Amino acid sequence: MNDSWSERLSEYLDGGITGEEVVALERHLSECEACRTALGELRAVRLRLSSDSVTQADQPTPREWARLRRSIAPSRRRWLVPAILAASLSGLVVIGTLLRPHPGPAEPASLYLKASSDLQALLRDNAGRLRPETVKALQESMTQIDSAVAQAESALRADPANDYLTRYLGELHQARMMTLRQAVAVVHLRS
Amino acid sequence: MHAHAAAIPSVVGPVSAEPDRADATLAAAGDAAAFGRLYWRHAARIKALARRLLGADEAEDGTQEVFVRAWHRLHQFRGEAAFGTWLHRLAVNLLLRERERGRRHTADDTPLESLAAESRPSRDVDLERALATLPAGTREVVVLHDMENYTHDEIGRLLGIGESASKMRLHRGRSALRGLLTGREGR
Repeated sequence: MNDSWSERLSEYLDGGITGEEVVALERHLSECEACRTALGELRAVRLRLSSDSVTQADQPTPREWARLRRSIAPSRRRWLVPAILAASLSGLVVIGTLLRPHPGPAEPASLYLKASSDLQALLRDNAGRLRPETVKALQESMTQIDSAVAQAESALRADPANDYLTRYLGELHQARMMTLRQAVAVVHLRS
Repeated sequence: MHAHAAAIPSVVGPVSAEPDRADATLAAAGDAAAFGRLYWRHAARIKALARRLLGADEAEDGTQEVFVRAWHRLHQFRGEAAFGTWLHRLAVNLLLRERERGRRHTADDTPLESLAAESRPSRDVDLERALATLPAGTREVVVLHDMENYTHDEIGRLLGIGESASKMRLHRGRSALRGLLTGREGR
């Protein structure tokens, strides 16, 4: 077998040889049985490679999806924490530029829920005293926070031992309380 | 939201651009269910790619890494190409790096001669095992060119080699596989 041609059989197979070289190579192939055999076998290898299809073993499984779901949940929530807090704080800027920040102590979640319920009732009773744009900003902030709370609670049900999610939920409750407190303070300022 | 976090999203029909685009937009905004639909539509192809490049033992981990990376990079998907194309490119880049890293830590290349010797005269050599015996840098070219339809130009850019080097590796890879599959010496 002519070594100079045998090294180029793959290139020929892929149509990478053109012009005079094709003529010369095909003339050589007509005379060299070893190269013809090699070419046929290389063609078979290429066919076998290209016909390797997606197998049953490649199909995703529920276990693999659950694993992936766990992998992506905390990291995306790390991204969401500042985003949600920023959104709620931007709402507060609209609501109460006259107000000072009112950071609360680290209360348990159950207390947050009760206080949140009381504050919402108070706000509902006094909604007529707020400007429409204030109400809109407040509603948007609360909607975003509530959505994030629901996601965190759902994720915690799937992964109850996740410390990060627990802390994150606490931060969300705190943000929710701050938003409500500021809104109530605005109501009081106007009364 | 009260759905269980690990619930399996429903599979929405065959892979096509429109649902992919919509789900990619939703997923980029943090919608894990939309990301799940993308996963169920595309995971098999990505896992096949990982199996070819890394081997069956590493395919699941490789696929997981690809989709975690995709989740974090979804905001970069502009919809200029099909989502599947974007994902495949991302997967190839990541898996090639993964393979390079793995090669630095393990000697994954069974001597070609030993596999050839144990397999003769059978023609039923497992293709995956045969691929695993290819020399460093050759398997990638063979997989990308003959199994994933990349051009030599594209492979050259991905691997940082010239087009002629890519052609040479392809020929050597095919010749080695030919030796394994037919019992002849590769050339």
